[in-house]
Amino acid sequence: MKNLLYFLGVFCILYFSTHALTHAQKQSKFTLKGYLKDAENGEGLLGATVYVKELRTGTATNLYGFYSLSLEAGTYTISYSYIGYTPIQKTVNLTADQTLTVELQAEGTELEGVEVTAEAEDEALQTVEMSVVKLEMAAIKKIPQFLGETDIIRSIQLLPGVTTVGEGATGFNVRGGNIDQNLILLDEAPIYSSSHLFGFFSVFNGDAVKDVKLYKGGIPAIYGGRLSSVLDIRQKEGNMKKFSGSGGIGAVSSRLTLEAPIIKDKSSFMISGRRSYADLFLIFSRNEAMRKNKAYFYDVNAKFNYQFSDKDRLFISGYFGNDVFGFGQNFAAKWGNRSGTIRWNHLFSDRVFANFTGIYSNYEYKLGVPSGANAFDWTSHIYTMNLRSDFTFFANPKNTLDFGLSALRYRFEPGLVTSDNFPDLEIDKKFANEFGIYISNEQTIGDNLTLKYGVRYSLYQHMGKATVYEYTEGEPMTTKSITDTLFYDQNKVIQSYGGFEPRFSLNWRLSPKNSVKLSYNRTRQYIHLISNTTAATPLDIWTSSDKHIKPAIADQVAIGYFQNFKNNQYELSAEVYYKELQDLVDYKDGAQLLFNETLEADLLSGKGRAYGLEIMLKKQKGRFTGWLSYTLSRSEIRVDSDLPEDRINNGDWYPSNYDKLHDLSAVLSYDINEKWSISANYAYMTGRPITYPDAKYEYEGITVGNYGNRNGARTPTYHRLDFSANYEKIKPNRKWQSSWNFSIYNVYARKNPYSIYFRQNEDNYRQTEAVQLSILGTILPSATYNFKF
Amino acid sequence: MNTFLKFILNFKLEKYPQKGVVFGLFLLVFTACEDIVDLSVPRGETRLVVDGTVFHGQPLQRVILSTTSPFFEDGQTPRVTGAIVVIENDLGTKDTLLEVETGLYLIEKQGEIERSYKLEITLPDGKKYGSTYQTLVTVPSIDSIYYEEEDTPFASDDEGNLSVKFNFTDPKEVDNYYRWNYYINGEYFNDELTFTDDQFFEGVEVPEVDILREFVELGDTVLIEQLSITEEHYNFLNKFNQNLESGGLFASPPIPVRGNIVNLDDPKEYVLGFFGVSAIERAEIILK
Repeated sequence: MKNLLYFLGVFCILYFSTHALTHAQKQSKFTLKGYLKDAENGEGLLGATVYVKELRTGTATNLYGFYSLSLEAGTYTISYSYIGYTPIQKTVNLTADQTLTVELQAEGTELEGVEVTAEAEDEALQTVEMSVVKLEMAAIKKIPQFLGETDIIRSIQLLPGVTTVGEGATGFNVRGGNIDQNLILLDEAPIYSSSHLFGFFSVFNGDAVKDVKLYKGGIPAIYGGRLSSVLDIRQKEGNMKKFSGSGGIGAVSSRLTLEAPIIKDKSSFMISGRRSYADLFLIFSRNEAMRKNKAYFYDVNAKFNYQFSDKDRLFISGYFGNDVFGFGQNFAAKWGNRSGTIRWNHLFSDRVFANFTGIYSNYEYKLGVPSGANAFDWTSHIYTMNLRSDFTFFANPKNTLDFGLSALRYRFEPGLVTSDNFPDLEIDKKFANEFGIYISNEQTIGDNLTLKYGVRYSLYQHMGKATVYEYTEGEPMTTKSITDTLFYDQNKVIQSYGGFEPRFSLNWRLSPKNSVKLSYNRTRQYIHLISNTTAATPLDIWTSSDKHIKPAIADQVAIGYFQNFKNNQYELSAEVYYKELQDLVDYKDGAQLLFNETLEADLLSGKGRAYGLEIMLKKQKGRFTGWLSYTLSRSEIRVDSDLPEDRINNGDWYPSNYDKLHDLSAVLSYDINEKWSISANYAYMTGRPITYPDAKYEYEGITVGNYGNRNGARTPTYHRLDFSANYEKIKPNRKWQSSWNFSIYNVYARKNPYSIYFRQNEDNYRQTEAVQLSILGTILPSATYNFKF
Repeated sequence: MNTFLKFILNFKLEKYPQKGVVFGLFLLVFTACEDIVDLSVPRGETRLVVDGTVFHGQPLQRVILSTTSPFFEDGQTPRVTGAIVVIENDLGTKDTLLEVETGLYLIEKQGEIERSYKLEITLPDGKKYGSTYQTLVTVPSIDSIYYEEEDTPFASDDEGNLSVKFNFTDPKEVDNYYRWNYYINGEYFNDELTFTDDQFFEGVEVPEVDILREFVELGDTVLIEQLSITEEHYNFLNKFNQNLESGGLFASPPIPVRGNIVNLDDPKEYVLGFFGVSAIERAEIILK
């Protein structure tokens, strides 16, 4: 509680001092503020550039498309620009505070050469952010997609520094970090499982998404709670101008999105749904048992917004998605995320933008046997409730301050089994609080130097009610080394952790064409995915830090060089990074992770280090677009202890499951003419580490390998080529526009190894053999029909 | 082993979800494929392997000593001959086993309930090995055994749809660890190891253990052995089993598996296998 008060105290001081600053400066300066919007549908443009020509300085719009500049009285030429939009220049005579909301027109497909436009196209050079990738939905839709499903997670895996353990594996790995080290936010609500169908498709419906941003490093102070990355996904707000819709019919799923103004330019909504339908064909099956089976996934995304005034705007958004499996009376399973966000944007003054958010998220899975003597139901939940307030203070064109605080409440319900035939069984619920407070400033010094520096303080509390076991010191934790069992009441603080998380980045512009960037960040993570399988499953549990499971800490430094060529047509970036991780969760051999009251006794604590070089060449304009990316990296783990039982690989460094030395991808797309465009992508990467046997032996008539050196070998190299073609005939004066997308996944039918395992031969149990498992070992064509109106 | 035990007890994510992926995705074509590949694996040092159990409910006790061999080498792994193999109980009674064929050591003497046993081995080169003490506990009898025809969600024509079922009652207020062996027409069925603790049915009647689905047909005789095992043995089987199932999409990676045998002079020596104790209850059914 003391900590909390301290927290609030600091916060109040911050708030009032900025307020004072606002008023103090008011006499000599005036404020130009407003929103940047898409002229077509009124969606706010995030991170768009507002540039004052005379002063050679500017600012960017925030996450809601708002900007504010405070300038001396005078006449200025202001240029508003955003990638993919035609820039606009406005002359402003500033004699008083002024509101200027600007709507930018999306660029048409410019086939005849390239119109080289304003400053904004060197965004990569201007912004102080590094190790950040912003993916436009339009760009994602150009990439050949697996079975025609637009997939954000698969698309970001084509970026440097982002990998996966294998095709069909859930999640993604960023710069040598585990999948649970990614903070995945959908309209600020945390998403715990980002995949449908165990990893083949992502839960994000491309039609409902407006903006995707991935931070691999230099993570801003506003974000906290995960070590390696932030994937910030924003849903569309809903068309403010007119009723419109889009959708598609694909090989896997169909989707439909509707948007419309409720009150023009004041209020609108968006609703989007998607369902896979392979199972609908089951009714044609002759096998009766087969007809009773179920297997599908669906998503619903919805958003509503209302603009009360120039100063107040309300957003309500939600996501609901499920995977459903049923196999007659034998087995049924269902899992999914649901989340809701309420946000209120408020302008306290011309220069203080505030955002108050309430977030609820529930990740749930259920499985069981529907009927019969063994009927049972097993449910598991993670509830997250989050209240936060975030402020942006546009102090002056050279300083923009962000500050705010966040309070999070977790409730983990790892498992409850109910059955008519057995006593109910429940693993203790776990409660925790996580508080964060942060402040950061983005400062421009002179013409060429931009700094962003800040600090986040996070405080974590493991709360009662809980049962905590104490173990004999100096012995491995086992159920036998328990010395005491402590019971804590509801709302009692059992264990606290906390600490500062400094964040820093610098952009030094060497010339208009190139810049050097540097960043450092420390991040802390208090919740952990508990999974010792190669690919995580939707049924893995999460747990939070406690007396025995320490929070994990990561420190990362990165240096990058950015250069633009040929009038900003080409962007080249090269970054090197080094990351050190402490107190990572690892597993004892043979660990039992589900329904384990003494989970900590099956866990180990390790260190990690990851380092690498990432190079990316990108072309964003013209008929020919795409990127080429290459990553050279290492990711290693070390689990050492005074106790030999608590070591892995004798306490030596060993490669993590997602260590990949080389990772190359190329994404190219070419507009042939007004109707046809084609694209291709190619991925090549080193195989993933696996464990090979060093001998075989017989025990009880079974021949089995003896495995010593964890991750001492690798699967063969992975490579794959995909093609796609898009046909779109624009019919002038028609509202209904449609297009066809044809794609071929794995063009040369490469049998890429997912894993290699060892078994005894079926016919001769004394003979052992190595088996390569390929998940998608063939060519997969598909066609998708898309429409919009 | 199916549904209940498959899911609740051992959390095998293998069977249904993987077929579910297949079927949720394409229905018509699934592309996952397994190929036998040639590759080279490291060659570790040769280690002693011990396979031995003392049973209550079976007259003959058996210990097999062998060693590891290179992973892709053909044929049986080498047996260890000429060792002195002794079973000692907690009363200090020592019985020396007789080597009846190369590496196979036998004795005709039943294990007793509530007695603890340990194994001592002296190899011809003088190296001495010993196990920890294992306590033999009683196992409940099988209450009934029957079979049923069931819908199998993915049955093809050549797969049977019979499954054998049995039930038993778990004793109250004791942690029990179970293992089952199956014999179809007298032949040991070793496709998978089945064992569990009683976490999910502590002290109650287990109404239906569903086994051997798709493996039996009318006319078969099925014998079930229900065994008690020790907690240490259970933990060992858990690890051992992980290496047998390390292939699929959601498999855990293979791990080193050490049993309860150590070199008495050099505890760092890595010995494989396990010495266990079990009480056995049996039930038999002819499917007709």
